[in-house]
Amino acid sequence: MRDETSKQKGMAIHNEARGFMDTLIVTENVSKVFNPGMPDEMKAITDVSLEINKGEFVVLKGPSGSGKTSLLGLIGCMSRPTAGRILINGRDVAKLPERFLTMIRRKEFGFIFQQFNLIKGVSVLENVMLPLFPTDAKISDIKNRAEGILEKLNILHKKDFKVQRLSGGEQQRVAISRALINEPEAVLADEPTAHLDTKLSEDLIRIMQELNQEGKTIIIASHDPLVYEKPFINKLVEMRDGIVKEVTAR
Amino acid sequence: MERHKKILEYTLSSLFRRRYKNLALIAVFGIVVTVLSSILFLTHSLKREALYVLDGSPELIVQKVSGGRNDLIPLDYMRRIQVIPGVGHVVPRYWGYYYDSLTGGNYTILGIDQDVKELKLLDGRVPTGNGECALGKGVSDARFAGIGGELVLTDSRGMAVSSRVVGVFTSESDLLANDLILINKDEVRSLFGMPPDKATDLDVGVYNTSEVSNIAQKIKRLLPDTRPITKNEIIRTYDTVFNWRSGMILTMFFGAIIAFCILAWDKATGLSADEKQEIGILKAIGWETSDILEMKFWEGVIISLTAFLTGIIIAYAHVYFFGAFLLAPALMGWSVLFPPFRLMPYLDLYQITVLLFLTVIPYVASTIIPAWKSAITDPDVIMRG
Amino acid sequence: MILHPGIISLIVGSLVVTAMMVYSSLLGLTILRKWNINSSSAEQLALERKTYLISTIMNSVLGFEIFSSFLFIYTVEDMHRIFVGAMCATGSLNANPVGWYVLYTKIVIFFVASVWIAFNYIDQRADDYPLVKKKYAMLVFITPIVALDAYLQLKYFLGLKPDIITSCCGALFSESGHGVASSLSSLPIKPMMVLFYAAIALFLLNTFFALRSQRPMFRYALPLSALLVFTVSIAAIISFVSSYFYEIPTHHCPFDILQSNYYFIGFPLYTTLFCGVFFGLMTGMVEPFKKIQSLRDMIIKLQKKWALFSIILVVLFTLIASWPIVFSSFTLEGYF
Repeated sequence: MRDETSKQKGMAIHNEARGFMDTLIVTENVSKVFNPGMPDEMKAITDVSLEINKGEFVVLKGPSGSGKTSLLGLIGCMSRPTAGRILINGRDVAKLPERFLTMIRRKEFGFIFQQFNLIKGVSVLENVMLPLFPTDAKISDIKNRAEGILEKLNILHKKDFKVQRLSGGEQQRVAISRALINEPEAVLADEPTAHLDTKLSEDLIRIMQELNQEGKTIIIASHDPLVYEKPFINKLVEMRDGIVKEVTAR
Repeated sequence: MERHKKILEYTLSSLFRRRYKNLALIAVFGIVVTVLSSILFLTHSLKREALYVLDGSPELIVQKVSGGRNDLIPLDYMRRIQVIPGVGHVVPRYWGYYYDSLTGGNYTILGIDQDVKELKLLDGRVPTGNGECALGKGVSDARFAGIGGELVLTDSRGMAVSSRVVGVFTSESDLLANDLILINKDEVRSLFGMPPDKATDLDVGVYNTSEVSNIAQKIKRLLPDTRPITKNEIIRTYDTVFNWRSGMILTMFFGAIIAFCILAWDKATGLSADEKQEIGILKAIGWETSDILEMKFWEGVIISLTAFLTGIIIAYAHVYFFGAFLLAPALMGWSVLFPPFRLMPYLDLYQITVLLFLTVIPYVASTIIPAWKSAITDPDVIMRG
Repeated sequence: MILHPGIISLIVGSLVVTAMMVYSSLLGLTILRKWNINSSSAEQLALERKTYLISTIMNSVLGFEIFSSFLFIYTVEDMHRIFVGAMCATGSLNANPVGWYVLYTKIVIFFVASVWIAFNYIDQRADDYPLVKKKYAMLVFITPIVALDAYLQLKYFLGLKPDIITSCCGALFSESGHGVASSLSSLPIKPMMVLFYAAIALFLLNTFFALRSQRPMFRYALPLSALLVFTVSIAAIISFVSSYFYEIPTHHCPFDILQSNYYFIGFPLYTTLFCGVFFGLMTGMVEPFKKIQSLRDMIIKLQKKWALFSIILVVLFTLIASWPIVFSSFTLEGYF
């Protein structure tokens, strides 16, 4: 514990020295328990405190079952913690009703899932536009934005293809595009390289790095060395059995 | 508003992606609607027809009752009714039913000696003397007797009576005229073997229609073996019978409605793995519970309205273009004339509203809870799984 | 009982809705007892999810009740021939006077359910569900009213016998009859007109000041003037507005204007009245909620919107009601 505290203090000074202005995410003693009180009760995360600043490239490292996916979900406002506080831009979101949680999520976060989770039978363009459907934005505006992103990722030429007809690499880029449609502050990815070969993995990491250089905060949960051994990572959070073992800042 | 448009658009494309399953659902729903609306259309039209026809019937009809059954009424009674204050005209009517063994149909034979005002008129003319007749379209068709043709009937003594057809009623929609044969009054008497001092019943007119019930009562007191029938009573009886008949059949089809609701519930609860995943993804990428609920609502509305409209259109065609061949026997009773007749198409907002109530609303209601259950999926479900 | 398709649908429908309301109330009671916004327990999350179900059910109940009110009027109209002396819906309702109470109950349900839905809408837009307790307590009060409606409706239809001799609107709404309806019809027309337009003007003024002024008293007065304008308008419709539409001085029936032979003019007439009154009512009713911090800004904005809606709708209503008075050649002047 003392190790961690001093490490965190060191990190805070370090960050200040680097001139980071805002803290994007702060978790304070956050815990998540699934199915509490029932026979299949599972403590996913216990007492995690973490700080993530804007513009950082963060990797949550740990084997499966370490709680990194759950932590990612909590940070990304996908679920509510069982205990503790989560501050996004200074606002505590832990007790917010779903509607508000979703509003914050829509504003701040873009998500890339392990299995991409694109909707089959729907075109590339529509998949990318979907996250903004429940908003009051005009469809033409969303469409323009989507096409812009697709072009940047070199997949605009396949915009009308149904997603199941795309290769793995192409689907990956569609998933990334979808995560960017709401112009989020941070992009979160859950084991993005789990089902990819080395080349595609490197492609993905490179795209993430480019996004980071543009100013986006990147948070990746991964146990793939290809990911966590990259030198440009600002913060490496090692997790095991639901607690944070070590935080390395660069 | 934009939001609703976009969600609606997505719902449509989503339904289209699973079109076979949804078409099956629409088909089943549509059949239920078709049956129900056929019933309602048919009874409603028959009711309207009857009321329209009855509108032109006499204010008061006086029949003689003997041993609980209708008997011919003595012309003598006319004089006694005429003196009741408030009574206008008293005119004897000569008519009867004729069973035609050739075609198996029952015709109504009406004797006239004055212009027939209420019935829609005919091609040709009204019979003026003996040996002439005017026929309803149904009779004319059944007996292959058009204008200039010949109609042969058998009188009460078994002798053949021939008359020339001088007119045929045109409107196929007129219930009353369809099975009608108009001949001269005297011919009716001889055809049915009626004695010269009797008539079938009396047509009594009154000066003030609100006094009809009073006059009817007076007649009954004066002539205890008669039965005065007012027009209103006939109208009410028809109304009640039709309501009762359609209500009865509707109740029988309640089982169908309930079965359908169970189907709707089952379909809504038993989402395929695909559908579950789709909702999970939507929630993960930023759709809220209320957005998914709205999507489910649109789904229910689109499916049920499509089925509803299809069902109504088919029912409309069935009843008005194909003579409701599937339902007619149950609803119209023994006096269905074997020659078919066409009903006047009529679409009543009220009927449509009742149908909506019986079909679309139960469907949407039975899908509320299953829709909610699927909408509350946690956004992080697809991350865990 | 008369086995009429409309009757069957209404009775079954009302039973289903009552069942749904009872279910919602039971859920609502659970929420009342166990709600704790500060808890992150799974129980609390489950309760939050249940609120969505109740909202959906209440929306459906309101939609259904509005629909069934029209269906009720039309069914009653369709049945009138069965009753001796009945010439329209009024006659059928007179055949078993419980029918009038069914209608009143339905009107009450419309307002009460709409108010609930509006409260729910506000509550959901604050991040701490400030109105939860009040909301679900209110639900427990709405349920008996819905059940009452179902019961009265059933009683009405069961009590109808075809051989009842009833009076039609000509008698009910006639000047020489007894009872409230005929009193309304026989009110002298000119004073009634003055009262009507005065009430409308008063309401519009009230709403205008509620919109513009900082002082809350105008908004507190709004529900009162809304109810006043509602009552006076209904009385006015019976008293003279309907007669102008029918162009018959003795025809005061408020239902016939919903029929096709009058081009369904009753629909826009009643819709604008009910909705206009509703928005006026709501603008005033949410005023006390301004004390709640999380709701304050939202309510201020909503009040402006609602007050505006109310003004527009009531003006439309007045225009529709006044149209035949101004433009048709028929006049009741001789009856003034």
